[in-house]
Amino acid sequence: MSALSQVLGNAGAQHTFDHKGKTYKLRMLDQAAKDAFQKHLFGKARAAAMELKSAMDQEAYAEHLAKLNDDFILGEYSLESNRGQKYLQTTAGQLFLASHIFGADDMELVNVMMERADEVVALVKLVLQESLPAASKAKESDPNGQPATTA
Amino acid sequence: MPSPAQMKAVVATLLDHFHLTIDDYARLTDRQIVELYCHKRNKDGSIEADDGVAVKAPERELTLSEEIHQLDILAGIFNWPAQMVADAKAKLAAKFSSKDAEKHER
Repeated sequence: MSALSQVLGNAGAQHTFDHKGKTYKLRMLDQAAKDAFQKHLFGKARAAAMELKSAMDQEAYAEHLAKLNDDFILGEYSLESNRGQKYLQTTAGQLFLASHIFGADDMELVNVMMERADEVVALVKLVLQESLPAASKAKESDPNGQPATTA
Repeated sequence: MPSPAQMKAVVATLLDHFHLTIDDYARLTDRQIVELYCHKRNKDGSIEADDGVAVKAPERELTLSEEIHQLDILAGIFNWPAQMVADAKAKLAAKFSSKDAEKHER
C-alpha cells in the first residue's frame, strides 16, 4: 500500500473507475464524509420515527424525537458507534458509503455493481484501508472489540 | 469510540497546535489525523518512526568549497572589504588543512 497515497488523502490524486464511458473519481473517507454518514443514518432514524407517529401519542412522539436528538449529540449515529457499525453491515449502509466514495447516487452505483461488483467492492475496501488508521484493523481480530469499518 | 469531549479536544488541538482551519479538518482522513498529526514522538518532541529510527536529517559538515561559497554570498550581502574576505578564506583553508591532517593521523 502506498504510504504517499495515505498521507496525501484527498489532497492527492484520486483513484478512478471507468465504466461505460464515465470516469468515477473516488474520494477518501474524510471527516466531512463521516459527518454525511452520521447525518444520513440519523435521517433514517427520523424517517422511521415518522412511520411510528400514528401509533404514538403526541407526548411519546416528542419524547422519542428528543431521544433521537440526544443520541445524535452523543455520537450514537457516528461511523464508529455500535449503531453505525451495525448499519455498515447492511446492504443499505454499505451502498451509502460506497456511493459517497464514488460520488454517485445509490441507484447509479447499484447499476454499476450489477455488472462489476467485485471491482467496486475491492476499490471501496482499498479506499477505506487508505482512509482509516492501521490501528483500526486491530479491531478485526479483536473478538471483544467493535467490528472493523469495512464495506 | 471517543466521547464528544475527547473528539472536540482532538479537533481543538489540531486547530490550535497545527493552525488548521475547520475546512482543513473536514478534508482529513482518520489515518492522516492519527498517523501524521498524532504521530509518535520522542521525549524531545521529534518525530519517531515506528521502526525506532528517529526521523532527523543527519548533520553534515560543509566542504571547503561550500564554506567559501557561503562566505562569498555573505561578503556580497554585507559589502565586506576584499582583504577581510581574503583573510577569512585563508582561515578556512587553514582550518580544512588541519582537519585533513587530523584525518590522516587517524
